[in-house]
Amino acid sequence: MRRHAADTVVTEALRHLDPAPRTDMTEAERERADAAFARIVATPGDEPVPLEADRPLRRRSRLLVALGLAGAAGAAIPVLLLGGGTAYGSWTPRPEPLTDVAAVKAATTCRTALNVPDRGERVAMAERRGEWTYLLLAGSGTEAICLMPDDLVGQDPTAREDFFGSYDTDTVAPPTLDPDRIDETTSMQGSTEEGWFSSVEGYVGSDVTGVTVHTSSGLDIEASVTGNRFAAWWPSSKQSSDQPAQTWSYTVHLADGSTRRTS
Amino acid sequence: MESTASSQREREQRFRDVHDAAYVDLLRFVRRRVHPTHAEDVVGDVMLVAWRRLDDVPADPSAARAWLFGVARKTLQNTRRREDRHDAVAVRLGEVRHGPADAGHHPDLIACRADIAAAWPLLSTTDQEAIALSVLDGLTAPEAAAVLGISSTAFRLRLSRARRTLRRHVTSTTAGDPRPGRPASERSPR
Repeated sequence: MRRHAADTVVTEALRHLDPAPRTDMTEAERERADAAFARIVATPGDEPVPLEADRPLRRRSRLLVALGLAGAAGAAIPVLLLGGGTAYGSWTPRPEPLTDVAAVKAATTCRTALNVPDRGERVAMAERRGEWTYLLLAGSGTEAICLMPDDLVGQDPTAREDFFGSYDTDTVAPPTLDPDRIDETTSMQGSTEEGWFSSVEGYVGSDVTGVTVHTSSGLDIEASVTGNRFAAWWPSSKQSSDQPAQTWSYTVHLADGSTRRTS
Repeated sequence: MESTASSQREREQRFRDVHDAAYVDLLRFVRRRVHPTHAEDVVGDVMLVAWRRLDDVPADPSAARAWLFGVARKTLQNTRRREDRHDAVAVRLGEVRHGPADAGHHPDLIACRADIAAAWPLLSTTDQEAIALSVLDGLTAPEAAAVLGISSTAFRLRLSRARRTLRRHVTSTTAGDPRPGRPASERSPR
C-alpha cells in the first residue's frame, strides 16, 4: 500500500513537471496549424511529397529526405560537408554497372521504399560499389536517388534501416553544356545504418567520357557516366569540430584522350 | 471525375478528423522531446506522413494518436546521429517553480516534485521514455508499446523497471546521497 501511495505521489508530481501542460492553442499557433494543414492537403495524398515543402530545393544545396524504414516517418537532414570516414568497408572507388535486370529490381525497391509511383522515370544511373547499389531515377521534373545494400535489391525494404532515399519533385532542367564541360547539379550528405556518405550528381557535355572526383580527404573516385549524367558517392563522416568541411574537385576525361581539371 | 472529386473530399475530411483530434496532443508529445521552437516543424512533418499514408492510420482515435506519436518518435530518431538513431528519445521535464499555486498542494507532493526533477536526469533515456509515455503522454500500455515497436508485456516490464529506478533515485536524493543509484556509466546503457 505504501508503494502504491508513493507511486501516486510520483505520478502526480511528474504531471506537475510536464513541460507541455494542456493548454488551449494560441491564435497564432492555430493559424500556423491551419496554414500547415492547407499546405499538406494541397499535395497529392497518395504520392510522395517533399517533407520540407516550405524550403526551396536548390542546386548544390538541396535538402535530403532520408527514410528510416523501420517506421513510417521521414525526416529532412540539412546538407553538410564532410571529412573522411571508415564505414561502408566494401566500398570501391571504381563503380561496376548493374545489369539491366538488377537495375529494374533496384528501381522497384527504390520506388517501394520511397512510395514513389511509376511516373515514367527512367533509370538514369545504376551502379554498384562493393556491396552497395546506387540508383538514380530521373523523370520529368522529378528525381529519386537510392542507396541500398545489394541484398536489399528486389526485396521488400520495409523495416530496413540500411537504405537511403531522396525524392525531389523540383529538379532543374538539363543544362545546355559545352561538349567538354560538366555541371554538378546536386551534392548532398545522407546516412544509412552503415554510416554517413556524400554523393554528387550532374550532367556532362557530349565529349565527356569520364569524371573523377578528388576529395580533400584524399579519395579519387571514378564517377559513373551514363548518357548525359554523372554520379558518384563515397563514405564520409558527419561534420563536427574535429571533422572539417570536405571539399572536392573534378578531373574531366574527354573523348580525345585529354583531361581538364575543374572544381 | 465526380467520384474522384468526391473521393478526394472524403480523404481530406478523414485527414481533417485525424489532424484535429490529435494535433494538440501531438504537439505536446513533441514539445516534451525537442526544443519548443522546433516542435511545430516536427508536427508538420508527422502530419505530412499521415496525409501521405492515410490508409495506414488506425480508425480508432486513440490508436491513431499512438500511431502519430510513433511516427513523431521515428522522425526525431532519424534526425540524430547514426550511432544514436536506435536509442530511446530523451524526455525533458519542466522546471520546478515554487509559488502561490503550491498553496493548495500537499507538502509531500511539493517535496517529491523537487526530488523527481533532480532524479530525472539520472534516468536512462529508455526509462524516461517509458515513464513519459505512460504518465505524461497518457498512453495505455498497448498504445505505448505500439509507439516503441515492442510488445505490451515488454513495455509493462520496462515501465515497472523505470518506475523502480526512479523511486530509488528519489529515495537516494531525499537521503542526501550526492551519488544516487548506480555509477553514471551504468545509468545510460547503450
